[in-house]
Amino acid sequence: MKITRRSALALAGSAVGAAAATRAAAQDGKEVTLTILSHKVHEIVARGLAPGTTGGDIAGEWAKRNNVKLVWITADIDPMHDRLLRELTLRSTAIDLAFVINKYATPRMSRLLEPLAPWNQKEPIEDFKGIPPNLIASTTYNNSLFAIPFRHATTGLHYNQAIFKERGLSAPPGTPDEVIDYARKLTFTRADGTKVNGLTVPAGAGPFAVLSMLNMFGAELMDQKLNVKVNSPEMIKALRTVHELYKEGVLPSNYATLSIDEVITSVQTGQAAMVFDPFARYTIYNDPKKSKYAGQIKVIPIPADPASGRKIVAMTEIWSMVIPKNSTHKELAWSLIRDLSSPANTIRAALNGNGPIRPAAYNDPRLKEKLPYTQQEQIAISQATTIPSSYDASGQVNMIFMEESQAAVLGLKTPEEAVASMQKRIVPLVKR
Amino acid sequence: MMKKPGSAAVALLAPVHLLLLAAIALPSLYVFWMSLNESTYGADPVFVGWRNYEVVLTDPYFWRAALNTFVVTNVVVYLEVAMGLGLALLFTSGLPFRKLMFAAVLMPYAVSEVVGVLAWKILMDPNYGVIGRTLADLGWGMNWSASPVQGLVLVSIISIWQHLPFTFLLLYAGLLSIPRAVYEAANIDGAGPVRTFCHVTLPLLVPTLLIVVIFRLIFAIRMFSEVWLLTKGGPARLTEVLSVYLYEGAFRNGEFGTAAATGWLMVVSSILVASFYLWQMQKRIASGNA
Repeated sequence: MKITRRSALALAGSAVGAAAATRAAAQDGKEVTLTILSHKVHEIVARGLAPGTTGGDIAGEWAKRNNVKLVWITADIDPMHDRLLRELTLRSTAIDLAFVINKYATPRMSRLLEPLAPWNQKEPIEDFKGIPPNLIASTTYNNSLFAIPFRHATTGLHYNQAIFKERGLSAPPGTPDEVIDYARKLTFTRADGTKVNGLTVPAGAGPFAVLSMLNMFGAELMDQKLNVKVNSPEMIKALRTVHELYKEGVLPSNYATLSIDEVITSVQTGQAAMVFDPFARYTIYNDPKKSKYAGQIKVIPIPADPASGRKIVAMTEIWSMVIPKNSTHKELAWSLIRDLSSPANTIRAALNGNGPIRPAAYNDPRLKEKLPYTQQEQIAISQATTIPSSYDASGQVNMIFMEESQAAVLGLKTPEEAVASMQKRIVPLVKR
Repeated sequence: MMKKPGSAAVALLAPVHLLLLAAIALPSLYVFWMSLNESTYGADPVFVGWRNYEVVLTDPYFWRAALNTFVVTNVVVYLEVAMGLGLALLFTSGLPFRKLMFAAVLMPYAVSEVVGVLAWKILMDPNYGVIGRTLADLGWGMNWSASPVQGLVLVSIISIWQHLPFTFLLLYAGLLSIPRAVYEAANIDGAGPVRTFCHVTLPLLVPTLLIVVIFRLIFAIRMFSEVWLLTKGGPARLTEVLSVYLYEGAFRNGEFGTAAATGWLMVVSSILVASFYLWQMQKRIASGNA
């Protein structure tokens, strides 16, 4: 689309007009509807909907203060981003605020989002510097800030203490070799015929959890400068090990299609002894209403290969808040972003189960008391890396990784063939 | 010879044709235009001529998806027609608890497609699924998430389960429309059940069978939810069918041009498949055997 000066002025004029109309409507006592597109988890942590959490209804309080009716449209990760991208390409959208995950936050998407630096200059987020600069950098392209980080989902190693005890293990694994060794020891069949898998991972849900597991062996898809590193001895070793675990029945036989919900069920019912999954899953794994092992599922950072010189490895996904360029209630949306990003509300959302993007939040005594796993999470987040997505073909690269890694794990290809193919197919997409 | 419709008839039919034009023809033309352009989210389309078709037709993943679609479509449609015919014959020959059985046969059609597939997925889970686990305990375990062949077998089973009521209903109606007098004549001539079926029922049922096959072939070529919800085209994209290939291209990769080209290739293949059966029907109508 060609942007002429006239069309730019018209757009700016209509945006200002819409913002003024919104503010006027809110001030007149007329309720305004603000529509949010997100994953269900964001509504849960922003409104304190999870049972037993203590952070309260942050978004609801803001809505009441501003005489706004909040409408949450929630969906799973892929469908909600699909919807958002479609909304962003319309002449105007009813979506006022959306949450995007870093793997979808590509330059292509950023061009369809409202630049937020001018808003932050006009009405700054409280203690903006408290948000780590590397997170802000990941939501900035061409010097334009297009999203404000809200949540991190950092992977840890969850383990079932009761099954550990049953199999004669007294402490969690401290090295990758121990993880593999323990996973084998924890694989068995109960007297009633129930199979327990020593290790599981939501491999059907996308590349993140699988890469977190492979990362334990030092394997990575690409570095932060977008150098594709997939054809490496570490990746070959990692895929070969995971293939062996699959062949031995340590990993579930339906590894390739395992969804997050299926993994949660298998951990809650004691059909899986260890799982690579975000720290925040601790609450649901230990939910007394749903879990047979409430209070016995513990979580630690993923141990690193001692030869690497590191103690732990961690990968994280960042969810950020964005305002569509073609939305109408930008002022209110920015107001809600500011509110949810404040230091106090970051802690409250963390108490509701959110991964806080402000490191200072971890020092809060309430968090230490109510959610003890966050202390382990704090250690992990300090070392965590993301899968870079600052190129438009991020989705295709994820698909290629899923395809080739599944082929290697299931034995349809050798690890060497799979990584060579990945490298060959991914490099041109990243450079495009 | 058919009478030419008058201007009043044309005027009365015009709204329907205009509606069809607006709802089907115009979007189809728009998709065709899009298939000649490079198009993605937030960017203006760039005309590239037939390049998208070239890209799709030289993509090995397209051909694998096409082969999977071909195999699954044929297995599903012909097995389903055979089963639907068997059931319809059973019902017309007199069945105890007919109303109850009728409700049981139609039930899958009342279940939402998504719910149906997810229920099958849970039932067939090798670890905790009632059917999957039982089969595994009996030594006939299906690892449909790891084996592409088994994955496609399960996809076919689910598709047949979901669409059997449709096939059954049409064939049952077709059987009921055959005049009883024809059967009485066959009986007087001394024809047994097999001869009656081969020489009376089947020939008279051919028009209905053709309609059933046309509809089901077109529906099955578009099959999406069974594959998407069960395997997402995996493992390693080996169970992908054409509609999943199209969806991934359009809504995961944002490549609307190639996805539109895939869509049009699917339309063309549907027309080619359907035209054979339509030609058969036309031939029968012309010869007065319809």
